[in-house]
Parts: sequence; structure tokens; C-alpha cells
Amino acid sequence: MIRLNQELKELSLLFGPSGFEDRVKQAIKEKIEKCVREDSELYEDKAGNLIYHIKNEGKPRLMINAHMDEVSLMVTEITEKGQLYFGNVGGIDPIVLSSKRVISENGICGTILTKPVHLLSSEERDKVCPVSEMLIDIGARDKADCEKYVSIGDYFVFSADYMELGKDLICGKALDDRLGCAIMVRLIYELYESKKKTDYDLYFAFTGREEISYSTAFLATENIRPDYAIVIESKAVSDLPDVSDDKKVAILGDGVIVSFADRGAIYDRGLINHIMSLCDKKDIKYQVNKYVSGGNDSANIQKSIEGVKVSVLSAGSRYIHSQSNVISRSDFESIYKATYEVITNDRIN
Amino acid sequence: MEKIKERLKSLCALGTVSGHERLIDVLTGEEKAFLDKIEYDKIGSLLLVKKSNKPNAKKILIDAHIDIVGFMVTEVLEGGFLRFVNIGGLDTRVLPSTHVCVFGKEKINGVITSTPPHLRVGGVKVPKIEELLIDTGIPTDELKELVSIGDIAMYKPYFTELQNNYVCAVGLDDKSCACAILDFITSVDKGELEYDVYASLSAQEETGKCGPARLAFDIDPDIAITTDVNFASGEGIKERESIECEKGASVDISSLTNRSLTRNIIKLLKDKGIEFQLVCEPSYTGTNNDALSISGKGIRTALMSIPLKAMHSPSEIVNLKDIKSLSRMLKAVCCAKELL
Repeated sequence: MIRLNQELKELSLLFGPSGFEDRVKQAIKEKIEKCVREDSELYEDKAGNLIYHIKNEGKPRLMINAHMDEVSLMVTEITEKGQLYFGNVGGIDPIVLSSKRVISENGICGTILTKPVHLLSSEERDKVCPVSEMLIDIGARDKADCEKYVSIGDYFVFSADYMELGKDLICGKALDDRLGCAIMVRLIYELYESKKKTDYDLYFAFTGREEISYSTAFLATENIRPDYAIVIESKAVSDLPDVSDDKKVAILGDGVIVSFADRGAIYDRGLINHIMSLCDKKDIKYQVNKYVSGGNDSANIQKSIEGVKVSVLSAGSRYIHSQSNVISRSDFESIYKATYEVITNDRIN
Repeated sequence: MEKIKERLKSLCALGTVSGHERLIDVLTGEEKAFLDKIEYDKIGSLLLVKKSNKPNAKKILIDAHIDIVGFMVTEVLEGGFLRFVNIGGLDTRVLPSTHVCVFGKEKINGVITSTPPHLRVGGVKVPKIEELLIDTGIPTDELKELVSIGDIAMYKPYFTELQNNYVCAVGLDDKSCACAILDFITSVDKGELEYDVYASLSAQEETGKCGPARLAFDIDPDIAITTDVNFASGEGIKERESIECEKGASVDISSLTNRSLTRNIIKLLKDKGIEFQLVCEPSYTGTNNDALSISGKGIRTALMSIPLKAMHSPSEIVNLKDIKSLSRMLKAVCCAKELL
């Protein structure tokens, strides 16, 4: 499990905005290409998804999916003073952007400027600055100077440190959904090293552009044509003291979140029951989601081809889509274990 | 510039939230040997003295505050959360998802909470400080052992180098000026000094501006120069309220600074060809200058500023060249014959 955590740290610190997941993909490829032998293959499909396939011809196809991209910013204008206007790529709450540090695809550091509190009128103090009025400052002198470092269309992502909170919580950027990528990488290692058999024709799909909905998971599904799909994701939770129990969604540390639906899809009940019974049997901690919210690739996958039976295993994340995704290490490990059991046990009937 | 950067970096790593400035160690042994006196006063200000070789030299006090804005814990809650209040003026808009460190029995990492969009009623709003918590991830029983009400917290220190000698860090207000003072006082030769120099890295500017006033009563200097940061020009900031980065530090003109001293300083800098800017703050300056102007037995005060972007945010930005500029200006002033 130490390796699982190390994997997450490494992957989360990589640069991978929606539409430019290349560096994450390359890193994952380098990690898992040694796991290919005669009964398996690793390839990139035309849509740019990285697929690891354990061949089991004739058996029902199971696709495990996680997305490589993270929420990000794209430069839209360089001002005369050499500062950068940007748009958000993926849903970022403007309230978590002010004064955060960011880094560009070329490693240029910057920060999202704020007007000094001393100069704010009382109306301004109470007004959330819209993303369209925010500026990134990289220490450029003027437009010409700035253009030496940054071009329109460049991406920036959060550059916050990865840190531990107490003994169980992890705080970092892009844990959504590098946690899914890390789990899949470790599962691939484990299956390769243990030579453990699976009764599925099994696909691991590392996909892109989830954060902007027009996800390449849709195309991965079209190509693979799975019977079942399990999406490994993080889920926004709000288990804070001042939030009423019905709005907490789930509790960090109480195990993998099993949901019945989100705002985009109703999950397959048979698949969910199968996963829960395996968790019960193997003593894996899980909790049932108590609030229908959010969405992820499950909707895209479900609607592909003639329809796919889909389910989502998620780790609760506080402050999702900010520089500070906070997740529980034990929840993260529970997802790994639950997915491993699904893969290596008897097939769903 | 490298020396200034390293000094600034170590200053910014210090958790000197107002009221908790004590026991800061900002000098190397070699630098200490170069000074005549180093002492802390009762409030927490650090006084560094370097005397001139000239007999009967007059005294000059140079002040920069060493305290920074931060937080104080008011309640330890279930689930590993802490409630807090601000120390000094904070913009709550920058707080959600910001990293902090809490100074309990040990130093603890934390994150300031934010509410996810799907649980908010009525769209995105600026949270009130009492709605925000620090998330520590530590089980409450354990947390109660580690953290007590009244403990302080600060933005988690970091130091990022931007382009063109700009740096982005926590607490550049007013450690940029403290850095300039230390750069000047540890390098100037005693033989050059026309005045006995009393440098104060003052406590509690952000909360009450009480730091240097008491010192001023003890020392009774002839001149007091306050150094602090001022708003750097930029989008949405009026030119007349701000100074420009990379154009040197400023001499500030106010009704609370001494008119003849300020004029003499301006003339001196012009004569010596030292780059500086002028900015006008007609009444209050909002710095230690205002308290110093009514301290001691009557001190002639002047104010110098370094331009700073995003003041009081966790990502303040300063240019290292402006710090060097202030150091040069201080040297010119302390080595000048006819200021009074």
C-alpha cells in the first residue's frame, strides 16, 4: 500500500490538463509497459486513450476506467502590462482561485493576483471576482516580455504541494482523478506479478477530457465495446462540522463510496449489488452515497454503443477541483481492494 | 541579489504572526559580531544597533515590522477541524482551499475549508470568516492534545521565483523591508556612518502599530525612518495610490512625515543619483510612521516604501531589485551629513 500511495503522489504532481494529457499518459505508459506479455497488450487508440488489455477471448468484457486529465486554466489574452487573462477548463469555483499559485506547461510559475484588501470597497469585499476578471502574474514586465514565456492557448494548472494531513488524509492537486490512475497502475502490476487469473476479457482505460464532459472515455467504450464498466473516481463530499448530515454526501475514512446514481446516470443495480456483496465477503470498508450529485464518465460510458452496465467506485474528496483535494488514504486503499476482488473473483451473474 | 533572495527566503519561513515575533534569529554569528547590540524588547521587537565612529553622533531609528497577518484558533471541533479568527486585515476571498500551518505543540499542516458548489444555496458567495474552518485531518481527541484555543496559524510558507527577479511568497509585507534593513546594517562600514543606527524589526504592526513606539521612548532618536510596503501599480489600482515595481523604493510624502527631513532626503538621493519614486499619502500613512511621529520627545520621521503586489494575500509579489534599492537608500541616508 506504500507503493500505491507513492504512485498517487507521483501521478498527481504531473501536468495534465484536459486535452493535453500527454505527460500523464507517457508516465503511465513507462510504468506499465513492462507488464505486457503474450496474454496482454498495451496500446493507444485513435482518440488518445491508453488501453491495457488482458486477453480472455469469448469472456464478457469488463472495462475499468479512470481519467488522466485535471481541471486547469487556459491563457486567453496577454495584457499590455504583461499579465494573463484566462478561462477555466473544467468546473473551477472562482472562490478557490484567488491568490493560488499556478504553473504553465513550460514550467513558468505564476500566481492569480488579488487586489489588496485595503483598497477594496465594501461591495468589492463581498463580491466574488469572476474568473473572466482574474489575472495571472508571472513577473513579466510588459506584453513583449511576457510573450517570451507564455503564449495564448498555454495551459496552467495548480502548483500546490502534496501534503499529508494527520495520519490518514492526503491533500493535493489533481487527486481527481489521478487516484483512479494510480489504482489502475497498481492493479496492472499486481495482476502481472501474481499471474492471478481473471474471468473477464479485461480492459483498463486511461482516458482524457473528463473535466469538460466531451470525454474520450466515450470513444474508448465505442472501441472496446464492454459489457460492464467500472469508473474509478473521486466524489465531492462535504463532511464538515457545520454541514447537516443529509448534505455531507459521504464521510472521509468510512470506506469506498458506492452510489446508485449521479446527475448523469443511474448505475446498474446488479453490478452494484455484486460489488457490495464482494466487499461484505472480503471485509472491505464501503459506504453508500447519501446524496445524488455530480457526474463523471459513467454517463458517457453508459450511453455508448448499445448501452453498457456501469457502476462507479469513488473516494470522497473535500474541496474537489481546487489546489487542495483532500482524500482519505484508507478509502483510496479500499477502492483498490474492491476493484481487485471484482476482477479476480467469480463473474457477476 | 542572490544574498538578498536567500535572506528573504529565510525571513519568510518564520512564523511571526502578530504577537508571536519573539526569538526570531535572523542573523548569522558573523553578522552578529558586526553589530554593537542585539536585544529584544518586552513586546517582541528586535533591536539591532550599529554605532558610528563619529563622536556625539546623532541617532537614527530605522523600522520595519516583522509581524505578518495570520489566524488564531478559537475552537477545536469534531472531525479534526479548527475554528479561527483573523489576526490583522485579511481578504476572506483568498482563504478557501489555502494551505496553512498551525503552531500547536507541534507544527501541523491544514487546509482552509470551502463548500462545494452543489451544496451552496443561492450561488457563489464570499464566505464569512466564521463559516470557514481549518481542516487538519487529525482525530479530535489527538487534536485537542496538540492545539489549544489561542494558538496561532499562518499561510503555509513557500517561496516561488517568478521571472525578472520577482518572487512570490508569504509575508513579504513587511519582511521585504526587514530584508533591506538587514542587508544594509550588516554590510555598511562603521566609518561611513554619520549616525548611530538603531534598527528595529518591530512587533505587532498589523494589529496595533505599537512596536517601535516604546523603543522610540527609550532611544529617543533624532530621526526615525519607517520602511514598509506600498501598493504596486496594477489592474484596478489608481496610479496615485501606488508605486511601480522595478523603479526603486519610494519616498512617501505625508502630513505625518517631517517636511524638511523628507525634502532633504529627496535632495540627497537626487544629488547622489540614486533611483527612487515619490508617492503621496496626504494624511495617515497606515504604517509605523504615524505612531513614531508622536513618540519619544518629538522625532523627525520619514517613510520609505517598497512596491508589493497582492498585499496580505498568501501570494504577495515583490521584486528583489526594489529591496536592494531600499538598502541603498538607507545607506545614503545614514551616511549623509546634513539631513536635519
